[in-house]
Amino acid sequence: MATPNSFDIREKIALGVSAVIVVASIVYWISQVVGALEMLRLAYG
Amino acid sequence: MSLLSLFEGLEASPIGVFVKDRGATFASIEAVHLMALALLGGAVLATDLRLMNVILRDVPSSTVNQNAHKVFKIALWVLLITGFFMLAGVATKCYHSFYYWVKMLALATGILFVFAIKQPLLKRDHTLINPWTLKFVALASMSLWFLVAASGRWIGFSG
Amino acid sequence: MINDVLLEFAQWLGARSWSTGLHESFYMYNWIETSHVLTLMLCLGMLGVIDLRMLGWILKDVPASKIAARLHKPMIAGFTYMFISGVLLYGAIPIRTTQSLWFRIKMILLVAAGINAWLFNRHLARSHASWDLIMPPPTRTRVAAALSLVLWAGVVVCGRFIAYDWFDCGGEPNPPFIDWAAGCTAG
Repeated sequence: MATPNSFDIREKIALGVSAVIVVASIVYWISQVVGALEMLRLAYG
Repeated sequence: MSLLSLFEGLEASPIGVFVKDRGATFASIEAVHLMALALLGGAVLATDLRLMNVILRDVPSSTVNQNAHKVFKIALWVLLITGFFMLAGVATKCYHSFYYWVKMLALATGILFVFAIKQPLLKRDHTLINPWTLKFVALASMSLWFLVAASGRWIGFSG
Repeated sequence: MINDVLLEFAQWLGARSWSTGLHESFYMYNWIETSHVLTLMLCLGMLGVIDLRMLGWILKDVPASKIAARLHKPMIAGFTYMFISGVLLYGAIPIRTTQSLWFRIKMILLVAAGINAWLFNRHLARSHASWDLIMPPPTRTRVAAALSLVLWAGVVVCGRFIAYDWFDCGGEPNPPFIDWAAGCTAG
């Protein structure tokens, strides 16, 4: 039986990990877009 | 034994040879992989869009999650098995592919996230969970599985 | 002959600057193709959930008509994008695609899936009240759902096979029936 404290901790961990994943995804896709723009500049001038 | 030699060994193994033998073999396995991708996408989107209150708003989110998770597990097994066979056919190319490793990292993170964080959380009464927690969990889930799919497709365009 | 008409149309399309531009693009073709494939997670994903409910395998406590109604819009949104991106992909490589056996089969299966969906939606609208929560759902419902899954699986398989050159015109000699079905015309 989960105590109120352990319940809060689990939720906080879920929120924290999710936030890290979302931020990491945003950073990854921004880097991909920047890289693609660089390649297009090289390809088309 | 290096990681590269493991990959080379897999490609030279009977499984790798079987997959490479005819173009139709790899293509057929890949087609099954795609169908399982559609099912996984459906399971993930049904749950996560429901958690974000975008779709199925008049169906309890716990009901959607419980049912979708059954489909998710089956689809994931099919993807892992077909993915392994596909890897065997092109292991060396995958080893040298940046997007293959992005996919594997996203896949490992996705599996850990679903089974260690998301599902244990969603076993509880959803009305007692902070809605923002649910939304962030849903966003993280969709981000991960989208990255798995997108990087997987991009392996074919690189190298 | 219809094959000559289709080939003429494909040749006209292939001569358009946007067609050549898209085919030779650095990234655009790849992005359109990637997004076409990824959107099947939305389109066929939602359809898969609807069909699995109609088969009585999941969401058994939720009225079938409610699942169909709630997931219809996201499914159509996904299909709309796949249709538009599909047209662009066809337009980028029109001649080879027109003469692709797998493309032709895919189009036939797509039409068949559409007819199956239209017939089923008409049946759903007229009669759902009598079977919305019955388990298992009526035979007609389950047959339509199974047919839907089979037809769409065929669409996915054929779509994947378009990229392979096993039956390409002008490649390895094909049996005459294949040449006719694929529309390989002389010259």
